[in-house]
Amino acid sequence: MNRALAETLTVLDRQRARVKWQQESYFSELSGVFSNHTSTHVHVFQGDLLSDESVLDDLVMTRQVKPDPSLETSWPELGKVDMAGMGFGPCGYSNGPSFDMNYAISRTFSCPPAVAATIAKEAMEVKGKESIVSENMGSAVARESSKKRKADKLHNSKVAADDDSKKTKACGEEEEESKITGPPNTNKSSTKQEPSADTSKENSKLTEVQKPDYIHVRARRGQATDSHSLAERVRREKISERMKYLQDLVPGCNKITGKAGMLDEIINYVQSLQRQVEFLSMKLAAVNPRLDFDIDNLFAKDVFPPCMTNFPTVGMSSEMANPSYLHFNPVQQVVACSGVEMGLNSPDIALRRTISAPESTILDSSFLDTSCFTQIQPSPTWDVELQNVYNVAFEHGRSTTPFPSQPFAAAGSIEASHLKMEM
Amino acid sequence: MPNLEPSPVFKRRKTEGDPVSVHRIQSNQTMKRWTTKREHQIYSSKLFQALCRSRRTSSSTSAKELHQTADRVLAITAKGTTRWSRAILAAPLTAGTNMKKHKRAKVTVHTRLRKPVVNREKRKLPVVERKLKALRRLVPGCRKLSCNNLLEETSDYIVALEMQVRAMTAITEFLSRGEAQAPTDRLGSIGNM
Repeated sequence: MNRALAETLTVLDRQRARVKWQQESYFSELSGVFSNHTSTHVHVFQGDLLSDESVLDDLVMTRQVKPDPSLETSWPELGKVDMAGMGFGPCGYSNGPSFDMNYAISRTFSCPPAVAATIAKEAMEVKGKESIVSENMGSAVARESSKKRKADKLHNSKVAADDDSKKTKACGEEEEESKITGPPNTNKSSTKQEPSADTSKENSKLTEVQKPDYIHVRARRGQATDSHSLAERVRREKISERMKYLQDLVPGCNKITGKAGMLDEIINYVQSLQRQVEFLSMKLAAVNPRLDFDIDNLFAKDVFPPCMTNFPTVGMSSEMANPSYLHFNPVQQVVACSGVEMGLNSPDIALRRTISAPESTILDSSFLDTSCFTQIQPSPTWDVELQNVYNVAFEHGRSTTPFPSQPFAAAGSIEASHLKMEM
Repeated sequence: MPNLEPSPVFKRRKTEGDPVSVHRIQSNQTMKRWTTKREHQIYSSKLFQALCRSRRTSSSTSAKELHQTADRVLAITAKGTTRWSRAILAAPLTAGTNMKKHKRAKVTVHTRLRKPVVNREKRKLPVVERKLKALRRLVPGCRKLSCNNLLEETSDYIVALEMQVRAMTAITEFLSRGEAQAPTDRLGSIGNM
């Protein structure tokens, strides 16, 4: 532990030196985001990043532009693709991303200087940008280690430096790997990080020109290096991602840690939801016997208040007219909604909604689409077939109830066929 | 003019903690689709139509039928993107009866042959596995899914179920209110004639 502290101090000193060197090359570019150029810039970055994740996204995106002119071969595409993916990936999380981007950003400032010391300034910038790219790529791999350690970087610069050094090793791995193996391999690494990280770690052991030894020692201690364990780690990461997402979904799971407890809660919640649906279906079945009649009446009363005066007789004609409207509109909507593309639906629904917005009174228009019941004019999107069917229904609708069942059966079959198309 | 009180329920949107990018698989079709008002409208109107239809075709009002109809409409709204929705649509008639019989048969045959000690030891060790099994039984169509995919399906299923509950409560409330008011209106209208 003492050795670790001593190492962190040396790392911190080194980073401070690097930072001061770096100021001219990087801060001029990033001056818009990072205001403080002192050695405590790590803290500042953290503060900035935590407060402005959107700015960070912009930063990440703007950085993409920089590699383009300077990098030679397929780096630009690599940078674009991966930075877009990785830049938004970590920022997707609520708490994690700020730290991850901290790592990424702070890494940019620690990696290049060591390289710059040996190579020309332009090459330095290139490698710095590479490191940005590779860091963002490697952030997913390194994220695992960051998550596992759960360092509170806000408080301790040593801790920050420690984490930075750990990230630098990951950065260094990616960087070296990118240097050594060339663009095609790094392209692969962008998609599958397990084998590349594996080889990069092996390479890092051998070619330690830029990175000091102790960083790699730490890496090896923290992580296993064979591809199986790496793949497993990625898989575990995915599962924990999903568990976190489920934790947000299921209410009251914030305090529960561990897979078993979470799964218990999830199972209970799903069971309770299913029970609720069953109970509601029972309730609906109880209410249902009066469904036809009442619905027609209800809609006549509430939805058609402006139209009521147009009808010659108030009571019966409204009931008869309404079923026809109901027949028309639901089927239309069925046809529209069960269409293959959602795109067809939305303009329809939006149109109907806007038409009926002033009229809808019963239901909250945000939930039930009352516009479908208030629309009087047929929309042009109807199937000619259906239109004929419903003309028949309209004529016969007054007489008996069995007729409406036929068009609905037709509608049902049409819907089924549409469904088959969808599937 | 009655206004539904559940309207604040409808208007309350679920704010997801993670934006689109969390799961790459889900990035294109996010859970958000189940929380938008439009989806609510689509589902509830479809459900309503289905209910009207079933009302007219068959006079019986069984809760099970209704439940199946509601589930199927929910699965249709999913547009075939998730396994559970496809499973619901693919096998609506063979609900749970066949599967349960198979399971009982297996259990009765093998329990006597196994040694009890080994059974107890091995049954309780993979705790997480047992719970995953239970979850697989709950989510339709996910009996052989890996843990990873199962969790994904579960999250989508949970969001869809929540929407279904909301829609059905709205409809029941609407209908029950309509019932209460209808008799008086009819009387009034007839009186006016």
